[in-house]
Amino acid sequence: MQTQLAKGVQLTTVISHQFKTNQIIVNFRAPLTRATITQRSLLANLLETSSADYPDQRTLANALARMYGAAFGAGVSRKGPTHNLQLAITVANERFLATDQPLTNQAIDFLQRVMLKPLASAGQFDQVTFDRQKTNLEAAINSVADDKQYYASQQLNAALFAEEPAQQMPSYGTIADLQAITATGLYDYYQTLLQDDQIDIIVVGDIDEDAVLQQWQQAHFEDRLTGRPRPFYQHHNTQKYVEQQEQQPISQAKLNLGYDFPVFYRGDHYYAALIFNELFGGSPLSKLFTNVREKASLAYYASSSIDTFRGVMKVQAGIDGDNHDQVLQIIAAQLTAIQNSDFTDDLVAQLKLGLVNDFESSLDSQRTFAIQALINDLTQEQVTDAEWLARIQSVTRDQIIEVSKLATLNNGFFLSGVTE
Amino acid sequence: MKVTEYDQFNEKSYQTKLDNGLTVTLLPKDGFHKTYATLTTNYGSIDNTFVPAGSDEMHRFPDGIAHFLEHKMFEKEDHDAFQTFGQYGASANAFTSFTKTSYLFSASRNLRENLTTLLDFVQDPYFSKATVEKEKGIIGQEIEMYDDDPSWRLYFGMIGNLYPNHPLQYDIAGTTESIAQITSEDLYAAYRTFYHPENMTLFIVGNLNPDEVLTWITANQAAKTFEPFTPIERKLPATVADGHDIIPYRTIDMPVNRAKSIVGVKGLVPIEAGATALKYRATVNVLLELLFGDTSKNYLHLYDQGIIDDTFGYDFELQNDFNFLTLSGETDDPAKFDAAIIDVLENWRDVVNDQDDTLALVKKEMIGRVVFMANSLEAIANRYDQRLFGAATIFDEPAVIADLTLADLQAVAEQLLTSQAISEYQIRPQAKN
Repeated sequence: MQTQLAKGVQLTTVISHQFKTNQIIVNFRAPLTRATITQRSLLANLLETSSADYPDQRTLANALARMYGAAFGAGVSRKGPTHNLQLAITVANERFLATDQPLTNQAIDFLQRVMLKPLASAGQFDQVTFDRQKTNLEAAINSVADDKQYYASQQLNAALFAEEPAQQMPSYGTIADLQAITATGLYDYYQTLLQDDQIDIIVVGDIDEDAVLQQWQQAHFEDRLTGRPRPFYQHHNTQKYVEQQEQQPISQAKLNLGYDFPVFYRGDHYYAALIFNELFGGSPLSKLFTNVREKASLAYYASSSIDTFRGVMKVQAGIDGDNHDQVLQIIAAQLTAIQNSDFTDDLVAQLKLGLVNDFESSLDSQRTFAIQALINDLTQEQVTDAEWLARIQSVTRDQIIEVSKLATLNNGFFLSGVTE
Repeated sequence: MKVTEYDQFNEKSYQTKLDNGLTVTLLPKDGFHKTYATLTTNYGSIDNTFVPAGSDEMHRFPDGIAHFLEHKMFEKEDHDAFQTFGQYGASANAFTSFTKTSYLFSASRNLRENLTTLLDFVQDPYFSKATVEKEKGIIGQEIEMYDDDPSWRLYFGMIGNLYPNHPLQYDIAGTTESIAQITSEDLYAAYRTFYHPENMTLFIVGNLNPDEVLTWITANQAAKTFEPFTPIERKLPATVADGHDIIPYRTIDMPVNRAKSIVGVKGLVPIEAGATALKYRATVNVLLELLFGDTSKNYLHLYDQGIIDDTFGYDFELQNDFNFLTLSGETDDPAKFDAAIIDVLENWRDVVNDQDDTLALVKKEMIGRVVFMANSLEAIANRYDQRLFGAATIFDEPAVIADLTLADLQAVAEQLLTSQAISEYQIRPQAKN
């Protein structure tokens, strides 16, 4: 059931008896801008650890424990040209516990308090809490680079989106921007966010829809005067390959490649692109897995992924630094092979079955409902399960070849060990 | 089949042991689309010295052999098991731990075909010199990948401190040098010793009809012949009772921006398998929550001082032959981090007493979390461990947690949290030139 609580504020309720928990998710969505990414990231950390009614982590954790260990978290993510700040709480269905505590009602109440009553006074966030979370976020951003594969993929992302600073940035922000944020400035921004962001609330589980609706109506959201953010960002195709290289004292080299790949979620070529990705590097049956790993024995992982909200494809492989040229060549040859129709119909049938399996399996995760509801709202489109399956099945060999020709290698980032 | 009903959770498990020795557990989940199946042998990275089946002499095998065997099981003379699973749309995988190797698939369709594929590929080994050699490049890259992973290095650094004379200290995948020695004969020897149905379990959870699935499994197994099972003789060093072999402190430099620290506590007393083990693990988990959980006074105190942050976490590992706990996090000052954690461990009596009602709250929290796990087929299957906990499933855990008393916690803390069993390991940022 879908209800508009105010202009730009949606409540989606989904009744499902499959799960033993109920989940409530609130998404605040705004256009992705360099000026706000880091502020939103810091806000997520502040909201996760404090609020006026639960001023420190212990008080907050105790409130969650009293709801039989409810799981609460806040986080940020990017989807195309939008930034999403999410608050989520999952709580056991009291039917499975020896209690008559109304856990879902309590969880929604908790979430509303956290959202609407931050730990702030006189127009600013509590200074001590703010300083602690600012310090912690700085440390967290700093140590992201300690995961070398992640670091390499971030560097590739920065190179791939050189034309748009907001797309270059990680969704959790940068240290340079963090330093300028104050407890007053952030509080002001939070007030703006509460007023202007598109809000999607999703409640999934064995729930009483009317009671849930009533509870959310009491939050009295106001109409948003802002328009809906665009769902897609189109990557700029440079038409040429540029590779950046960096050396660090590490054992395994990381080769990351970025392609312009103008295919968008549920747009033309979308279903063919899903199969193409599985064929190229998205599954253990793929060309990359078979040739880079199984045949040439050059890698433990070599895989591809597509981002259909920004129109790019990425490849990553962990290899021996000396094999850079050979691996690059094998990867290129796999794409050419697909473009030249060098794959069997049997394999395509298997890849389709694999996608169907992934799709049906995803319905066993409570989170899937929230993710889908968010995307549906972002794209203003709905596709039924049956339609999705039919579209995957109807993709032809020619369509896969056609979509494979849309991939143009633009950027590479190669992180390798220091040669001594 | 023995049926166990968990009325509170509206769940049922079905268990039986086949004539060939294979233990089968089935847990149907109404409303689920997929089925998740794991076929597990009690053979892991620490089992590198054993009497091979058909021999009577103890033999030392190269480190990483169990994991190498796991990789090679998928490859057959004329096909790869991934391809067969692919034909039926399943997603397949495998993993090796200290004490186990598990092969698994999850599929929303073709359950019978996928189940047959799982049983057949694990019960039909094919190793050749060429395929064994080829795998060394792939696993070599896997080892290098973990070499660069600070969390993995931190964890294994601590295990090396706690178990300097035990095969636990070796990376599960071995080293580039140790796997270079592995031959197809080694793999066959390990296979024949550990992959007998008597030493294996099959756990299937999700969209399934128990009677139908059992019929398929029984027919599949009845068509195969196995040598009579001979009890497995493994050689593992005994735990040094006073912990004098523990290395108290080590540090390494890595190309990281932020230091990482881990404090470990080695269990010096072996824990009996079965109900005792289930209760012991629950007790330690409640104890850790009281001492370090985000509901504790200590947590807030350490957090507010900047000694710990959101990267802080802890884990208790309990297996048949060993148990240890670890507490780790990123920190700007590893010495201060270690000192603060050790202080809490050594002064557990300040927290575990009858002064407040936190225990009731923590128990409530942990029972609730079992309900969460009931949503996850993977959690249900991966928590099952027949050799360690017998027939118990996660649905047996709430009753165990509910029964825990302050005296239980005190007894375990008294035994586990002893100063001579504590060790520290740190990763420091390498100086940049």
